[in-house]
Amino acid sequence: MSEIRKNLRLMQDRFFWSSKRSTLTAPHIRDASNVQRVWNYFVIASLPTWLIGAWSLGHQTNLAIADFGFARVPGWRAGVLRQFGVGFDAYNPVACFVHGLLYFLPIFAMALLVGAFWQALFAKLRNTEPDEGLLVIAWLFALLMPATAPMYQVAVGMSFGIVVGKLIYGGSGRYLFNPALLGAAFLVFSYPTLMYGENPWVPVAGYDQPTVLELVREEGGIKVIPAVGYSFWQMFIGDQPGPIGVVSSLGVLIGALFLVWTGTASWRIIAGAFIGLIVTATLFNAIAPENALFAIPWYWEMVMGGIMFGVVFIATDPVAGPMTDPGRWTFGLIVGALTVTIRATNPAYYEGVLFAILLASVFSPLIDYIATERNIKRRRRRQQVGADG
Amino acid sequence: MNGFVEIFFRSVFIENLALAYFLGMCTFLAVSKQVKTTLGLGVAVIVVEGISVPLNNLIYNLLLRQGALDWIGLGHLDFSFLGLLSQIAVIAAMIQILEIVLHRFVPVLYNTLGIYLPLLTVNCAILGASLFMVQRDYTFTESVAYGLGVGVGWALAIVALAGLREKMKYSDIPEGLQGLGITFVTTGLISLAFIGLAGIQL
Repeated sequence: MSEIRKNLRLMQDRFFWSSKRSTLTAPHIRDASNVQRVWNYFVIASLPTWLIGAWSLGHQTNLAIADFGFARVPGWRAGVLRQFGVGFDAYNPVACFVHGLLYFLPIFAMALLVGAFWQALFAKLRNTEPDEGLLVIAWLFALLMPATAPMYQVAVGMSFGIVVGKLIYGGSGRYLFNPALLGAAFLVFSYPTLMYGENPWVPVAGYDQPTVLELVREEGGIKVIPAVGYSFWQMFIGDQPGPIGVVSSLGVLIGALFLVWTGTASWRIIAGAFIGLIVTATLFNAIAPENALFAIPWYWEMVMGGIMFGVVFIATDPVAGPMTDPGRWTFGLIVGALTVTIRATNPAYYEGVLFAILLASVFSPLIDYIATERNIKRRRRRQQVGADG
Repeated sequence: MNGFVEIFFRSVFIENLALAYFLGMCTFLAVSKQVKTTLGLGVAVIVVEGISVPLNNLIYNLLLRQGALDWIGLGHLDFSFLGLLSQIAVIAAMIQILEIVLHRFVPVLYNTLGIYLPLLTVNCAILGASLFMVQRDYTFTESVAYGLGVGVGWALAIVALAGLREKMKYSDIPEGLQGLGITFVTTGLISLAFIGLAGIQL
């Protein structure tokens, strides 16, 4: 028992401070940027999208509340908001943000607790120290969840993500798929109503506000977007229903700049994904302009759904993605192209970005293998030419 | 032509024999340690599937099916109970020929595949493809598409698994899961990734 407590304390230390563990054999690198800091950069980078996302969620909810004209808004969150005098004004950014936060925090806390439990258990059983990266997994996982996600589903998804995705492969830096992504994908398949249900995004009972992506799919193409009152810039900033982390393209782009600037994420993956998306979307536009789903222009594809968030924060995972530069380009291209393809052709899971990244991760070691083999061949040829000359 | 592409795509990605039906698991799990070996095995499977499924289709439609022997006035005879036998015979013969050819021309591959090449005879993915072909009433062109499709799909799955397993050399897997255990889990995760494509309408 005391050991579990010790492990929990260690983990608490490592949310923001580094571990003293270093590699046993050479080469050693002396640098301020250690594993823990690299993971925390992902959290820091997603703060803008989190801020805007929480505001957006509160905004949508308060709009719904105003629409229904409740005499007394139900739920414990409303009680808290009343208690502190925050109110339900949809046009007061602070009130909106706090309201959104009240939906985000329980999910995040649940994910963190469940993750910490599994980390401590595995560390105890395997007689090792708990490793880094729990914070970022729980954080990204919580950002992907809808506001109405039941707590037990959050717990189940996080458990699957962290145990099957990370711990049984040996932990941080040794896994094959991004654990947050794996947990979310597992939930989508196990509980289809979680994200594809009646009313998952705006947590006011009976208020059906589908995501723009769903609207476009159900109501016949992008001509529906102006009809229901969305504009491009409104969606770009993030004023639309959806998961907290995902709605704001603006926030994600700020995060992307930070990640690329600090060298945490590979800009090649991000650029490759956007090129893949633009090329595939344009190709689809040309093939079947009469099909409403094929005719969506690329700039709309970019602001709808989770493509931005997925590409910047999940596809760039430094462990699951490829290690070689040509491999990163290819990986990105596959993610972008597959996302558009799934959106256009798959009515069952129309939000394609999760599966696109998962599928690309399956092939990422293979992409690396091909890239390395080609490099070996090229160098060998060069050597031969040199020897002959 | 559209049907051809659709059946091919469907059998590679959506109804992948290894990942959706879990056929051919013994070879799939046992030989997937190195990408290089699986590339060879993958090509062998594509060749065997690509020839055996259309061949079985011809035999079934021209000799065994009820009404197939109309041309010599024996249309009332139904030999379809011989289907399984003839399919296994065709596959076994195919693999024998492939083995001889590989031994003569690509001895390296022949040696790496070792026992698994003759074992392709009893690989469920290969017999399974022929059985599905009969069950779904494919025409000859459709069966060509299907044979190539399942071959490519199975090859793709095993090469991907081998890539992941090579990467897993750097993992630190709990003692009880090492070896086959973690391979099963990884196969399941690959299969999970492929579900995202299920339901695609062409």
